[in-house]
Amino acid sequence: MNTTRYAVVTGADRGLGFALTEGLLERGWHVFAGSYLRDWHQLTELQTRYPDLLVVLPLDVSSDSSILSAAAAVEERTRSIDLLINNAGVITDRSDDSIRIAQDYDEMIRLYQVNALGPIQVSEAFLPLLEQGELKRLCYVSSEAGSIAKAERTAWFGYCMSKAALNRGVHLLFDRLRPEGYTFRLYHPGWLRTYMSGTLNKEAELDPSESAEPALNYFLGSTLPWDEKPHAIDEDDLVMRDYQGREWPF
Amino acid sequence: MDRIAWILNLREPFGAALGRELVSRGWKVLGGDPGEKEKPNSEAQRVSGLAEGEKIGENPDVPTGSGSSGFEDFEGSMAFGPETNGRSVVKKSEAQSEHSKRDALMDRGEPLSADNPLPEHGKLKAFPLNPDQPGELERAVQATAELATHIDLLILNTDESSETGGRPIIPTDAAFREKETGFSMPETVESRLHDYETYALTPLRLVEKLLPLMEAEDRLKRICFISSHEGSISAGGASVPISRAMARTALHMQAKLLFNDLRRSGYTFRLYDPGLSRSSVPSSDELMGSIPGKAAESARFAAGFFTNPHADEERLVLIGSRGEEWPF
Repeated sequence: MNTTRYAVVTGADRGLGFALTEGLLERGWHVFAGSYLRDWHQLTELQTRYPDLLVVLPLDVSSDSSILSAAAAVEERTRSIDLLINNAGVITDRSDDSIRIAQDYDEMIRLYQVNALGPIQVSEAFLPLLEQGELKRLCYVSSEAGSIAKAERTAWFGYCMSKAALNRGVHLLFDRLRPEGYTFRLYHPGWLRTYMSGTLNKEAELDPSESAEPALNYFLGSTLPWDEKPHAIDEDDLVMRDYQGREWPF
Repeated sequence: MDRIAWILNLREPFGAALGRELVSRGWKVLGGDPGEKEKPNSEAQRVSGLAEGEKIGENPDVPTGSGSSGFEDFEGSMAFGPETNGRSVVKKSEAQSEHSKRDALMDRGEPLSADNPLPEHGKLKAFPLNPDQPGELERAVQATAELATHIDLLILNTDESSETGGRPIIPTDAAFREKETGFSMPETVESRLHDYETYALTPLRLVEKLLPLMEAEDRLKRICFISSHEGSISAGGASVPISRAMARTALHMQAKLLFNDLRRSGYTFRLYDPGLSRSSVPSSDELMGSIPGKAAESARFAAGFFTNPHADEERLVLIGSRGEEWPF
């Protein structure tokens, strides 16, 4: 049995993506880290610690050509991957604009491209490599903001619409690919002190590493449906779980 | 005071059937549609008595108020026939001439007044509205504001029950992803973004632009979204194009956020699946034959659902054309 495991992580420059990458490396995984920021050097420093395990690739999930180039670059190095973590995401500082204020539709389209279409297109591009892997696991960092049933906001149109759409896209992929042996994880990471809006949000609740640890437990967790663990995973039922293992309704 | 509804995609079969149904119930109906062409307010038009509103299917020879969907009345010409297929160029009654006069006033952009009210019952007015055309949405909103002092019922019809309705024609050179993914979806990034614009952003743009016309305290203040269970995250199924499904889900979230905000100001909401999505239509042979009847039936239900009070206005749910509830 091949014990070498390969993962791809998008949006790995900093924040949760970086913490997930670091956590996988600590667990001995080979990681292809998608990098969007040329002038952010955390990944470079990480590479010096894990020169044999970490490969940093340019990856803009809003660009089809960038996605295909990244998939080709991974394919040059391995015939298969086991785990794809779609983490890249953005938010806007126009979120609080109510409908009585002129909306920024260009910004909404940007959020949709990165948060909703990006993960779907990345998944499509990497499917041939996942098909050859053993785990066949697709993971998506979504948000409680994508829960329509629980939505209490009165604005945040661009972000909430993009995350709800992502959840729908993931469920559709689940419906199509689960019969072929793929497994899925949909995750709400909590309110993180990250740079999603471009600057560090110091008011948020959690450091990225505090969410990355439960995220990896969930992403790499048992595929046995009734293993008596606190958050047993039924692979035939797609749910969105948060960093505390709680299920969020769609 | 007149009860006025505004419908997006008024020429699309469901939009047209709904417009006609509302007219039969005494509503005035305005709307935008990509198929509506800007018409010159020509002298010949006025002389002929061919009223603007008639071109989306109004047949003055057929009495309205029957409670029917209108499709039976129009023999299908409203939705599917060419604009010249109407019978309105035959003998005109005095009443028709009066309609025509009013339409001419409207076409010149003259404000509403005792001499220039909105057309009497049986009238619908469509504006050109192709969101792909820069400025067209703003012009449609402006034209609406010139014709109507208020809107009671805003109906955001993003449904599609025709082959090309609401969906871009995929370029012939578009790359098919089927080979790589096994998915038989000829979707490009552009077509996926276009779906988002069609099903989610255009409705939001219209709400933003038309909201000032809905604010009066004594009006109905109701916003209705026409969507599909394709947008149900857990029950939408996998047999639809992924980007259309995602965009419809985005619309559902949009409806919920607006519901959260505007109900505090007295607005009420409806979220409706007319059951006419292509994935709901059983066979291609039955496609054209089944749509008008289904649209008529669904529009009849929708008209009641949209205009009557609901038992629980504090809860937003996606309701199907048989009254069934779909999960988000």
